Amino acid sequence: MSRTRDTEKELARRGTILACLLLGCGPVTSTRVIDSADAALVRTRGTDGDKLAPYETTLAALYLAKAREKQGYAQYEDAEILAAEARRFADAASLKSGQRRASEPAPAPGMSSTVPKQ
Amino acid sequence: MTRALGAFACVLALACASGSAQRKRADSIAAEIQTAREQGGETCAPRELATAEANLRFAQLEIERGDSRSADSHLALAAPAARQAATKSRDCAKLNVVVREKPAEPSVPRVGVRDTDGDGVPDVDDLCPDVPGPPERRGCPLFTDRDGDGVSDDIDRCPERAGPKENFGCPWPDRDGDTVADKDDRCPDEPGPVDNQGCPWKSVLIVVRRDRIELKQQIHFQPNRAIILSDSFDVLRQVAQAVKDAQGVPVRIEGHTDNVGKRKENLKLSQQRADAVKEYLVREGVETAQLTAVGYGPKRPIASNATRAGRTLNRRVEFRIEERKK
Repeated sequence: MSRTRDTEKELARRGTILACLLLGCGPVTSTRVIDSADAALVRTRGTDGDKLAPYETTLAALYLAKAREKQGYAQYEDAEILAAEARRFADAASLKSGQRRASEPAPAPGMSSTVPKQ
Repeated sequence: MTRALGAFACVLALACASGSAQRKRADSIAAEIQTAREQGGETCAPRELATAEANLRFAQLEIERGDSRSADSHLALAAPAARQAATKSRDCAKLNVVVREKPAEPSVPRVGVRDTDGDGVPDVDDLCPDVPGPPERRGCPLFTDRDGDGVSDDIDRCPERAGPKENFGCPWPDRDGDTVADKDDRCPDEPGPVDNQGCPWKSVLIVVRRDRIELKQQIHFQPNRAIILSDSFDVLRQVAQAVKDAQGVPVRIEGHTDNVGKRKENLKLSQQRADAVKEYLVREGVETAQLTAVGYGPKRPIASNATRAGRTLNRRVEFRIEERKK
C-alpha cells in the first residue's frame, strides 16, 4: 500500500516537472530569439545604423518592441516570429551601414589623426 | 435562449463589420505606403516609411488575431506615418530629377552656359539669376541690399539710402549740403569746395571773364628774377583752381615788363616769369597741355612807362583764355 502511494507521488512529481518544462518551452525559445534580436540591434546602433541605415534600423526597433509586447501577453509564437524579423532587419541594417561606411571618402590629407606631427 | 442567440449574432455581426472596416483602412494605408516607396521613400523618408510599414504589419496581425482595439491603435500610428512618408518622398523626388540631370553636364561646355549675374552659378541652376549669390544658396544673396551700398538690409539702418558700413549703411550727415560730410568739413554750416575742406575761400582774388582771368592782386617776383614771392601763392592757387574747373580750356600765361633796361633782357625775364607761373600752376594740379607761357617783354604796355605808377602796372602777368581747339 505504502509502495503504491510512493509510486503515485513519484508519478505526480515527474508529471509536475514535465508540465513545467512544457509550459516553459514557449517563453524560453521566444526569449532567446528576442535577446538575439536585441543584441543585433545594439550592434547595428554601434555602427551608426541610425544614420547610415535608418529604414532597417527603425523597422528592427519597432519589431523588437512589438515582440516584447507579445511576449508580455504570453503570445510566444507571435513574439518569436516578430523577434526573428527584428533580427533580420537589424542584420540588414548592420550590413548596409558597413557598406556605406566603406564607400565614404577617405579623410583629406592632414585631417587624419594618423598623420605624424612634424 | 433566443435572446442570447440574438445577442451573440449581433456581437458577431459587429465584430465582422469592424474587421472589414479595419481591413479597408489597412488597404488604403498600404496603397499610400506603396506610393511613397515608389517615389523613393526608403531614401527620402526612411523612418516614416518604416514606422508606417511596421505598424501596418502589426495591425494586420492583430486583425487576424481578432484584437481590434490593438489593430486600431496600430492603424492610427501607420496612417500619419504613411502620409508623411508620401509627402516627404514627393518633395524628394523633385530633387532627384535635378540630381539625375547633373551627370549630363560635363558633356556641355561650361563656356556656353549663361550666367547673367556672374556669380558662378549658371542661370539654369540660379534661383536669383539677376542678383549674385553663393552656390550654396543656389545663387541667391544671403540678404537683399536695396540701396546697393554693400551693407545688407538686415543690418542697414538706412536700407533705402546708400551709406558706408562704418555708419551702419547710412550716409554721413552734411548740414551745409556742400558734398563734404560734416565729419570732414571744417565749416559744416557754410558750403565750400572739397579742396578747401568744405570751407569757402576767404577772399576772392580773381575774376574769371570770358576771355581772361582777371587778378585783383598782381603776382610779385623777386627784382630782376623769376622767383615768385610767397604773398602771391594764394592768388595763384585760386587761378589754378579756376583753370582746373575750366576742364581742358587752354590758358595762355603772358609775362610783361616795363621798358627799363635792355629790351632783350626784358623779353627773357618776362618769358622766365611766365614759365615760373606755369610751373607753379602745374604743381597745383593743372594739366601742362592746358597752359602756354609767353614772354612779351615791354611790347604790350597797359600804362605809360614815363611814370613810376605806370611802370608798376606794366610789370605784370596776365592769363588769357583761348578758344578751345577744334
